[in-house]
Amino acid sequence: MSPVDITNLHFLFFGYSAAWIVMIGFVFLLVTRSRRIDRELSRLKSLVEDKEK
Amino acid sequence: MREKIIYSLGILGTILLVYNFYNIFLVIPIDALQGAIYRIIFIHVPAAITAFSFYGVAVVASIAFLVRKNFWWDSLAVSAVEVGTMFTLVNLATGSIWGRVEWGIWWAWDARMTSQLMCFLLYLGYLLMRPAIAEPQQRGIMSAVLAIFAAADIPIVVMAIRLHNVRTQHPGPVLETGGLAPVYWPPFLIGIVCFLLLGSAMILVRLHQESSHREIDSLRRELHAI
Repeated sequence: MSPVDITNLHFLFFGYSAAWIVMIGFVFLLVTRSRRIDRELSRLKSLVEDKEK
Repeated sequence: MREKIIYSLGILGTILLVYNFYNIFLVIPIDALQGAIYRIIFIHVPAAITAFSFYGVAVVASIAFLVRKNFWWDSLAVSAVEVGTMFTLVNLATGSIWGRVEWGIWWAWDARMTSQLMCFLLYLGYLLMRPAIAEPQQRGIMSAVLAIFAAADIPIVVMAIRLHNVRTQHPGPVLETGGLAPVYWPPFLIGIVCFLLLGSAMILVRLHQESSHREIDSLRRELHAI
């Protein structure tokens, strides 16, 4: 395998890695945000219930 | 039901993605001129097509919001823009890495790349602007106007490599000119379907988050009123 082929493979790896980092990072953000929203929603619901009592 | 659809889209997209990677890396032959790096096209171009499809959804949803003033359309628009912006970032990053190998530079300020960067920045501005406007109606209207305005950049991106009087570093169009070998079409099309499926699942998750957000806002108002 020539040095050009090896460089090509390195950058191919970087390219696919970059794409996966962006996509997995976005999914991680979505999951984190969902958990935060769900926590806040249940906290507010219990607060409203307490106040109504 | 909503969760079932999200999981179905996600699982189907992932299975297709794994099958596509098998084809891309182990079945189809290496390009004679570019070597292994050409394989980046199977993620670079589908990411752009997926992003533009979702920006299209955002434009339709924005127009619907302006006409009907129903916040579901605003939620759909912001969800589509957010996922579309993520795919635009994938497109820009993979394109830059491909350019480093083929041109010896990370970035060229040519018409295609600059207009695509502008597209990314416009929609990033859309996402950054929203939290700055507290009043929901005003936020929805301003977001809808910006989403429609930003979409004007998409034809510029598409036409940047098709106009004869525009000099560009970016390769010319290959899809409609027969420049893509028949053996490369299946992984290319499957790549688009994969991203559309996975992106749709992400949009549905974001849509649910937006409706939960609205519920949180109404509960806060209720708490203030009690």
